Formats: sequence, structure tokens, C-alpha cells
Amino acid sequence: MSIDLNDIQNEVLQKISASHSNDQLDELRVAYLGRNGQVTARLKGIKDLPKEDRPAAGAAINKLKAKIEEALANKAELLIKELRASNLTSSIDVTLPGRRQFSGGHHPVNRTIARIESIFVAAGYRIAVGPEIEDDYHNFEALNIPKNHPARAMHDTFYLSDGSLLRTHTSPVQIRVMKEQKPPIRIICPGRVYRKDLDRTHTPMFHQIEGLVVDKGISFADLKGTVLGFLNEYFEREVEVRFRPSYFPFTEPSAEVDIMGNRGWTEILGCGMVHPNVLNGCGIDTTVYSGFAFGFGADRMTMLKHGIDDLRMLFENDVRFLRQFG
Amino acid sequence: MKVSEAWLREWVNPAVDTETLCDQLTNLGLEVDGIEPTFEHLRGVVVGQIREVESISNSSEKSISRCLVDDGSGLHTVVCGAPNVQAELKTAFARPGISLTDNKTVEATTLYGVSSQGMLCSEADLGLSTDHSGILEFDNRAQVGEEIVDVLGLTDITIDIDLTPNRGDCLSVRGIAREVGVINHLSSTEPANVTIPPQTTREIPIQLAEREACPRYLGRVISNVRTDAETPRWMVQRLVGCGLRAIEPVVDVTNYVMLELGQPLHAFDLRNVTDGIVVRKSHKGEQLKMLDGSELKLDEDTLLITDGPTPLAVAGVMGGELSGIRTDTTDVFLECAYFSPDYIIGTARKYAMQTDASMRYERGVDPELQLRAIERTTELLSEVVGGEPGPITVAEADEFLPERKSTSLTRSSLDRLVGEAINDGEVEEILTLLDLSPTRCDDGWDVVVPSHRFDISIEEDLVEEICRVHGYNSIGATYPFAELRFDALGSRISQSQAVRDCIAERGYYEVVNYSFIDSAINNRFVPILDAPVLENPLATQYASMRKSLLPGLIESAKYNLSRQQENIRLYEFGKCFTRDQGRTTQIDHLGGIAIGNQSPESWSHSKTTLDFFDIKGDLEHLFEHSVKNVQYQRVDCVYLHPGHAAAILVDDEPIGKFGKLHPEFSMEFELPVDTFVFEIEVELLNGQTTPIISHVAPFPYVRRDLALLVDKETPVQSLIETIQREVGDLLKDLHVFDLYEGNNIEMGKKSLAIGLTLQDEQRTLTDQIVNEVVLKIVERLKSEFDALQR
Repeated sequence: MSIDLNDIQNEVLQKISASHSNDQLDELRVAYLGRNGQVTARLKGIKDLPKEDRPAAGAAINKLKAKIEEALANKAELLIKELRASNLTSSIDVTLPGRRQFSGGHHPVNRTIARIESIFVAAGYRIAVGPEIEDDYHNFEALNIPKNHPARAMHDTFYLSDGSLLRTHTSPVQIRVMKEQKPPIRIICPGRVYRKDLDRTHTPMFHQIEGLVVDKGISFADLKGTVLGFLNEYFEREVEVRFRPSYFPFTEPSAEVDIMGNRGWTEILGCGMVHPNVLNGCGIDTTVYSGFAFGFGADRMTMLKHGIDDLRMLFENDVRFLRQFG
Repeated sequence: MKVSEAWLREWVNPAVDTETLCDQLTNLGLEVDGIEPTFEHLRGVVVGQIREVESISNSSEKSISRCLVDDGSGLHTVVCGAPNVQAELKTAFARPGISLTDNKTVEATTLYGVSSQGMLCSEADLGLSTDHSGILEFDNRAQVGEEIVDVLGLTDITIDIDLTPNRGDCLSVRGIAREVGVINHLSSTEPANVTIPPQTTREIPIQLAEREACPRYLGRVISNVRTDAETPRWMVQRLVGCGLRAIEPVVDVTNYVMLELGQPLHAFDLRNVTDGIVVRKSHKGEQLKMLDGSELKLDEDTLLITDGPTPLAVAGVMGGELSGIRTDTTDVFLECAYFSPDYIIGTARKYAMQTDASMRYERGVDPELQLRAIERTTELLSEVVGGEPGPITVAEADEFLPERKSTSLTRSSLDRLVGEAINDGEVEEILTLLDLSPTRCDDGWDVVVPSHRFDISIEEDLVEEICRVHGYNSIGATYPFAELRFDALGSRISQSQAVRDCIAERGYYEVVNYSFIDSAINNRFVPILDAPVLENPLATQYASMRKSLLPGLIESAKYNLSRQQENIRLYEFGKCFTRDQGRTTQIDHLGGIAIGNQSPESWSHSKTTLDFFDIKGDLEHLFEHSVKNVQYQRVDCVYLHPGHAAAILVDDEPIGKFGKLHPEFSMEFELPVDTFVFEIEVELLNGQTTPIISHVAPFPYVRRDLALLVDKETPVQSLIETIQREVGDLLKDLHVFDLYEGNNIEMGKKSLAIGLTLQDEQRTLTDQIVNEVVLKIVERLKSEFDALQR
């Protein structure tokens, strides 16, 4: 090998070994082996050598070329190894808090409503909703509460100037459905209702959920089973339940349901067999069909489930309260 | 209804303790709300013995003494004006702090210059009778320091029953005893029916001008009653046991009979009944002077008891000033009437006078009870105040007296409605115990409803009676059988749930505010439409049905700001109400408010106050899968900053607004300047929830960036829409990634950088095609907006 080639070899091997990146290796490759590279130029120069010298020179240059390529490849491999090794040496404080966005969430009462809806939808009920400003017929008359009925006193109704009213319960939705749809009817009616009352246990607006089933052969025992099943499902435990006779104009027999809690029996739900006057008024033949209805406060259900002891907390909208529901 | 347990047990005395008795009542539908020892409030009043007496004032009317009283714990000085004060007397001593009646608490005080450390009590002081003649006197068996409730055997228990409005028949000891008898299979011991023969011939004529409203009116004059009589202690204890108190002997007797039998009675001073009783409706504008001196203005529809033309009382509700018994009353006119519930209902509410009488008449008094009640009252009056009864005057309208109703119960209905069989023997027994006189018929029983049960008229009522006596808790529990049907109608709710979920995901907490708000605030936010207004609001600030969710959200935000919360994002989902030409509209809105920083404070980035485009991003996120063709426009809106206010349009229909709260509003409501709000009509989110999928083409994307210089006022949305139209299907994505105004830019212009992602779904795009597309865009933007490529 000529001295010249030796110099090139020393020079390039030294440069390769001093390289720190693939880019530098690429530059060296171009400078020596590229189209206009130094080694390539030597190869091109062979044709100018005496004929007898050409094979030896060619072999020497190709050997050099192979050597350079090998060195480049080795160095590239080394660089990758080094890179991998150096990647692994960096570290961060994994206990620093992550980057977050603000959390939001639903109001506890609406979470309760959604949950109860899903319990009933899974059992084959559908959801029905209706207007909050109602007329006297749907809120009272059709529910067997004629004018001057003492039960109207229990409702403390808000009236509007045109004689319409804020519904005192979601029962008018039941009337609207029964007038529209033939049995079998299985609905759940959630929504805001209004009564003129404000103290520790009453707010003038609250949320009710009512259920209605009308079909052939619906019995009081079915009502009991449904209410018991629902309460166990909602509270996720076997609840101790008591049914006691009560009075609602739109059901007969009527019952109130208490559950056993830490402070004894707690009233939780009203229910009964739909009064024949109500069914007949909606065009449902009571000799063929019977039905049951039940209703309860979603606010109260929420309080019982989450250990809230003051109803008004639900309407203060304090985010420190709301946040706890996730 | 409060009832004395001791009195109840005089009528019917099952071998069960108080707790069991109360459970029985509750399980029958007479819900026991609470029980309380009747005289619990007297606990602490003890037997005290007077050790020394010294007269400190002696006028002709009254002698006042200073007594030294030993109550077992020590000696106490007490000033007392009772005539029977004497040394060594054992009497009732109440220390300061003890409440004797509802509004009388014993206090340490200085009387006649002497510090008095308590009170020596008369029967009247203790509410045990009306006797105020002297302090109690105990015999030697009473131990000093012993509780007087123990010495006097005041062990009665008051049972408080929350009666449902259908059970007027249980507003008496008689009625409750009947129920206790039914559940324990006992009959009750009633006081004997008596007939008191007249001793005079004095009568007052009675005229029923309203025969349907008052089909029966019994009157009786009792002459020469004693004015110095006291109500006996046994009677007072019964009254107190039922939640009343002693007032005056004649009134106490009528109250006693009302509690005992359920029949309200009224005793008039005969001096005010001179022309004869007329039961008539009031004339409009007629007035009735009440006991407290106020004038009750009557409408034309109120049933009255009058003396000739002069109104004495609102029938079945309350007596007027002229109707009452006075301390010098010697001749009494007793009224014992049956008023039809329909005519009494509403009267008490109308005049805001709920009374023990109106409560009973509204719910129905046994129409067969009047004769018995007036005789019983006469009997007790002669015992308590003496006097000579006259004959009973009876005015009746037979045709309007309720008849006993008949109905029947079939075995098949019973089984069908209960869901299980209750055997014949038990059914018959229950019907019999309830005085329903069952007789067998084809498929069940015919019954006759007793006169005291206003609530039984149809078969279902009988089913309830059977169930409640059988025991609701003894009936089984089953599930209804039903077809497993598919029904898609539930989806409407789940759509609203999707909207809620979406906004909650963006960091908003849901609030629930009242649907009624202050009218002025309501109109400030939505000036153009009327709101439905409540006739009888809870308070004036709750009179107007909300037209917008924003006033409530602002209130909630304020509430939280004042509680050191800096980052507030709240939403509400609920109905808003408007009225237009007599029509009420009530539709669901979604509203929100945002205050504070873009993201939670962190080591990794500096605090940035949120702005318009944060809210817009939240809304775009919400619309992404629920609605297409959303556009935004500058809008004038009273509560939004004029330069930071946008209307949201879907298919050119406005569905809502958002932006920065108007500075005047933020100042007025004490909110930060950077307060952002939005409100959308949810039903107009037309809910394109089913995406139709296009296939994903395998060809590469090409990205090109455009740098444009346009007029500052040119809405970016117009540029984007033009680009979208121009590029068509090739455009897969578009981002505005830079916006610059200011130095190095021509005045009145802005510099925009828009990144385009292009793809042809059929082939690989060539540079040539892409260049042509970009050229077309640039030319179009230049011709339409005078936009220059930079």
C-alpha cells in the first residue's frame, strides 16, 4: 500500500473514532466514499496508472474502502450502544404531580336520578318526562284530587297568573303517558317538582321519581316485590323495609314505605294500587287492567345514600361539596 | 291527633305495652309520630314544705308572704300570694327555669323587695285544672323533694298520631279505640248512651236556610249554670293528654266531648242568641267580629250561624266575639250540628283559621252522632257546672243527610288486587270488626258502610281495609310478569345525559338552582320575552320563572368565590320558561360559567387566565358529536361584552350565546372581569348521534401551510369556509396555528398561518396537484378577502 493510502487510512480512522453522531459519520462517508470522495477519486485515478500497477493499486484502494466501511459500521453500532446507554442514565422525579385538567361532575341528585333510571331501565321500564308548568287537570283532577279535596292542602301549590301551576309531583307525566299509550305500561318519571315549603327538611323545589306499571294482573304483592327489589338494588344491601297503610287520592290501597336506619324507621317512599278513578279517567278498563304506582324524593334518596343530613346542602352548590361526588 | 293513652285504655285495653300499641296503630295506617309522657314538662316540680311564713304585704285584696321552702336540697325563699300559705304545708314547688305551660317559665325575680327563688304552684299554674284559688296541698304521705308527677300519679302518655285526611273517623278517642279493638279483636267499652230529661221548656228556634250544607242542627238551652265552677282535674288531665288545655268549664266540657266522640260542639252565651238561630250563607261584604277584636270580611259563600240577622260564627270553623262563654255566663245555648264536608272544606283555609272543629267537619263527622253527643255534653255539664237543661231542639233536612252506602267485594277482585288469597274466614272477620256488616253473595260479600266511614265507597276501598287489618307486611312480595319488549323511547334521556357528560368532562360541576328567581334580574338577562309569574311565591325574589340559567349560575359562582374558590366552572341543565301571547314555553337549557385559570396550578407551566377561546373550545367539544354545521357570529347581547360575544348557529338557526360577561354585569354581581358564560337551548342540538362511517383511505397525507396577510376584521371562519369549499373532499384537516398582529405587520392587517392536511382517497397526491390546489386557494382568498400570501 502506498504511503498516500496509509495516510488516508490513518486520517479517516482517526476521524471516525472521533465522531459523536451519525450525521458526522454520514459526512465522512460522503467525504471519502461518496461520488466525489477522496477514496473514490483514487479509484478513478487508477486508469492513469501504468497498466501493470493497476491491479495492485485497485486491490489496495478497495481494501482501504472496505476498511473504512467497516470502521463506519462499527462506529455507528458503537454510537447506538452509547446512545442507548446514555438514554438510560437520565432520570426524573416520578413523584412530581402530573399535568391535569380541572375535573367536573354531575350534581349528586342528578347522579342519583341517572342511577335509578338505569336500575329501572335494566328491569324493562322506560323513562317518561313532562312539563313542569302543568294544568290543574293533569296535576290534580285526573289524579282523583278534585277542587277542595283535603289532599290539596298537603301539596301547597304554586300557581301562575293564568291558573296553571308548578307541578307538585311527577304524577301528571303518568296521566299523559296513560292517555297516550295502551297497557302494558312500565315507566319511570323523574323530574323537578315544586311545593311551597322551606325549612330544614323541605325546599320549594325538589326532585321526584315516580314509577307506574299498568298491565293485566298487576297486584299489591307485585308492588311490594318491585319496591323491595328496587330498594335493595339502590342501597346495595338487604334493606329492612316496612309497608304501612296510608292515603293518597290516586291510589287505593295506598302505602307508605319506611326503611330501618340508624335512627329507626325512616319514611322513604309512597305507593299504592292505581285508583280506578284514575285508570278509568285515562280510558283504561279496570276490569281488565290494574296497576301500581310509587314515588319518592330523589333528594332524600341521595341524602340517605351519602349521609347528608341537611337538604339545603343540595342546593347551595358549593363546589367543595359537589367535588366529593367525583 | 294527640290522644291520651290512659283515656284510650278506658275504652279498650289490650294486653300490650305502649310501644306495641303504637306499632299496631302505625301498621293500621294511623302513623304514630311520637309518644311523650303528658306531664313530662312538670318534671322538676317537687314537693316542698314551707318552713317559715312571714307576711310582707297585707292589703284588703291580697296578702303576700315570704316563705322559706324546703325542697329536700335546701331552703329557698319564695314570695307567694296564695291565701292558703301556712307553715309546715306541703305544696308544689317549682325552681327557676322550669316551664310550667307552653309560655310560662318560672324565673328568679324580686317581688315586694324580696328575692324570690321559685314558685309555689296552684293546680291552674300546673295546668292540672282551672283552680287558681290556692296552692296545692299534699298530705303527709308526700315526701319532701318527691316529684309531684309521681305523687299525683301523672303517668299518662300522649300518643301523637299523624292522621291521613281520609280518616276523619279517627279524630276521637272513640275512633282510635275502634281501630285498636279491630286489631286486638276486642270491643270497646263506651260511655253509656244517656237521655237527660228536660227540666225547663226554654227553646231557641232553629232555621236551616242552607239545608244541604247543614242537614242537621241540634240545640239545647241550659239555664242557671254555676259561674264559680272549676273543671275537674280528671277532665283537665284528659284534655292535656290529648294536647289541649283547660280554658273554662263549659268550653272544656264541649272540647272533652269532641275529643271523646269526635263531634264538635259550640256553647253560646244565651244573651247573644235572642232572635233564633239561622244557618245561612254570608252576603258579600258581611263582617264578623272575631274574639281578638278583628273584623273578618266574608265572601258570599261562607256558611254562617247567625242570631236572626247577626252573624255569630263561621259554621264548623270558629265562633265570633259574640259567640263565646264569659265568666258571668249563666245561660248557655248548646249547638251540635252536622255540616256537610263539601261546604266546610276550604273555608278554614280561606280565612286561615284551622281549628279542631274545622279539621273534623272537613274530613267528615259521623252524621248519626249528634243526639248522642248533645246528651253526653248535657250529662257532663250538669256534673261540672250544674244547670237545668231544656228540651233538645232538632232541625233536620232528612233528604240531605248522608245515607249509609252499600258496596260489595268479590273474591276475584280481592285475589287479583292483593296478589294472594286471604281466606274467607279472615275476610269476614275483618269486615265484621270494621262494622261493615258483611253478608255473603255470589262471589263475595255485600257490605253496608257505617256512618262514620266517609272514606269507603268502592270495592278497592274494601280491599285496602282487608289488607291493612290483615297486615301489609304479611302480604308476599312478587315481581310482575311482563314481556321482554324492546322500546327505543328511552333514548331521549340518554341524549341529555351525553350532553351533561360532555360538559362535565370539560371540568364543569353541575349545580341545581331554583327555577324561580327575582323578576328584575330575570328581565335584565332576557329583556324581550315575558316570564311566567307565580301568584303566590315563597318570597318576591322567587316570583318569576327563569328565562335563563345564567342568573342562577352567577349566584352559584358568587357563592363559591366568596368561599375562597378561585377556579370555578359550573354548569346547569334545566328548564327555562317564557310566555308569549298566552302560551307558555318550557324547554331545556344548558348553561355554564367559567372563572379562573385555564388549568390547575402546576410546576410545569405558568398560570394563564382562561379566555373566550377556552369556552369556545368547550362548546366545540360538546358540538363535535352532537350537531353539524355550527357557525359562530358576533352578536349584541345585553349581558355579554360587546366585543367578546358570539351567537351559536346551527343551520342558520341561533341555538345559544356565549362570551365574556359584560363589565357592567361583572361589576354589579361582584365577579371578576374575566367571567365567561354560555347558554344553549338543548333541544336544538339536533342530535346526529349516529355517525355514518367513511372508509379510511390508505394513501398518504400531504401537509401544506399557508401564511396569509388579511384585513384585521376578516372573520377567520369565512376564510376557513372558503378554503373548505375550494378544496372539497381533499381537505382532511385544517388548523389555524398562528395569529399575529402588530410590529412588522401592516396597520389594520393580521397575519395568519393555516395548516392544511390533504389526501386523495383514490390515489397518491402528486406535488403538482397539491400545488395547483394551493394556488387556487390563494387566488380565491385574494379575490374574496384581498388576502396576500406571505
